[in-house]
Amino acid sequence: MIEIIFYGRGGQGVVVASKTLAEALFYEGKYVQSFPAFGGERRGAPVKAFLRADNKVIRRRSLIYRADHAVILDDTLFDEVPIRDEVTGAHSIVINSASPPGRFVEIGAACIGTVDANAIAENLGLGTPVMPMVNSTMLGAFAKVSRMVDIKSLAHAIQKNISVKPDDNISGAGRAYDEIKESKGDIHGQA
Amino acid sequence: MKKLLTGNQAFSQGVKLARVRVITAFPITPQTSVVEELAKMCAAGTLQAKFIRVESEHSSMACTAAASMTGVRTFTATSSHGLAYMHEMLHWASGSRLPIVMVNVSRAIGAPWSIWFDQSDSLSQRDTGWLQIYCATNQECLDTVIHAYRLAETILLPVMIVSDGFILSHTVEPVELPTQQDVDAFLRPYVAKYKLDPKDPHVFNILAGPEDFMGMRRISQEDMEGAVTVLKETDTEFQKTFGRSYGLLEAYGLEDAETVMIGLGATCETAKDVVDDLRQKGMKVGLLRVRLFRPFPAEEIKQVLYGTKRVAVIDRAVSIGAGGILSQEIKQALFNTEYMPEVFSFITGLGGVDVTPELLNRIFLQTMEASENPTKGFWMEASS
Repeated sequence: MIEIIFYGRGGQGVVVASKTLAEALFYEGKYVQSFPAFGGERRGAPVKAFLRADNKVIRRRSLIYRADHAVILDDTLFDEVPIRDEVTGAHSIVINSASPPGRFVEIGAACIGTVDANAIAENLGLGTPVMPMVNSTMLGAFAKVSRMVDIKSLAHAIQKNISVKPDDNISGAGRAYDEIKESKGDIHGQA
Repeated sequence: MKKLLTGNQAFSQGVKLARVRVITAFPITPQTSVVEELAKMCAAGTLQAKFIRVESEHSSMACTAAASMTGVRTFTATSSHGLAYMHEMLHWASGSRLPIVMVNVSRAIGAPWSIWFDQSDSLSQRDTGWLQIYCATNQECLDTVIHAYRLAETILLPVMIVSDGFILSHTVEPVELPTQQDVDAFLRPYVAKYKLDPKDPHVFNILAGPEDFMGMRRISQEDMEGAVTVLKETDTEFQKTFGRSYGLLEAYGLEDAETVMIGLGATCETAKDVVDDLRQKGMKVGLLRVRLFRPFPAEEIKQVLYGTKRVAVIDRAVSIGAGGILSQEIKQALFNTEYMPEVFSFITGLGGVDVTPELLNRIFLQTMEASENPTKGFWMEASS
């Protein structure tokens, strides 16, 4: 079983990102389970969503405390949320950041990728300049780094799950797929 | 066809497929999206039902009961404080022998304020004369709505379907959508034996003298007990129609189990993984999920627990001053049996405490090793 945690802020479409990826994996024949961190969501406050995927029926119904993969929609969250405890040792982490992946190598994951999803989203007119909608863009980045899901399945899932500007969202995912910079490390944090 | 649905969407799809005619709605977390989805279906005309927005849950149940008395299929959904607020009308619905189906998406009851899951809302309504069925997956949520109408309309008692707030209600997973054709074959239109009809006037619930009143309570008790047989029979038919069935109880790895965990709802799905892990290590453990809580299937529980040495009950609701509610029921079912396992109560998961595989693993080990059995139960407050 693969367990994924999505980190973002209220209003960024974190839950939709988890559901959309679940749908894409479901198209590829996986069993999936997607759920938000249960609680009241406030715009701008840190939020999480979870995703499990497996080749057999998923029975575990507790929260996820250690991620195999992580998708981080806002790199300022590191200062506010204990993300490191939950993602150290992950196979892959993708971060929406203008910084190169080297800045995050000390987290300790097999592969860390960064992409300036804000710039891509703004360029495509997704969301507003104050709060660009980067969720589908970051899924494109995830598809590249994790190698868990085909970009075509993802496009299909975005079309179905995202009602506002679905085509631009698909373009965003494609651009992040092409533009993401990866840094291969080992799980001890050496680049 | 399989689709990804939340538990609440699964309920709404079940209501649509059951061709419900009157829906009453008052929002409350985490139930709200059940009736929101139904409102959309009614607005779009994909569900031909009267959607009535009421001013409270008390009114919601009063309205559902009145609609049911006119001989139509009715539905409502609630959670937590909403269910508590309905309490009086729950008695009126069951006393009037109305085949209402209601979903309760469980959530703790304040104070202090909580929006998270435990089972104190539905379990505290166990004496209101409603059947109670607890679901463990989103598929079961959908299927149980269809089955519940068949059951309710056969025995003329209302059914409360219970799911785990957030854990099922807001979690997306694959669900097989039955065809309308199959549902129509399993669930015929409701024909009320007695109904309110201006052309043929009758009255429900006039003042009943003591003997009449008590006799009606006895008949309710007998019919409620009869639900066990009806559920078994209709379950067989459900299996034939849809290829799935759930029974009164779900037994997992019970054949040679010496230590058995017992619970209600989706916690039991997590427990299956734990049972598999411990069995691989050579421990004789098993799981019993109580699906039908009212009527309580005491005879069946006795039978499946025969030979069990120790029982660990997962109590996600507590009657303060008495202890875990499910464990009380289990003890009562096993009392005076020839071979009675020792019953341990583990009070956990209150107000949304996450019940993890690690916690359930610890409960199994503690049950196997325990040298004392406190009557107040073991309080397990930490998830890991």
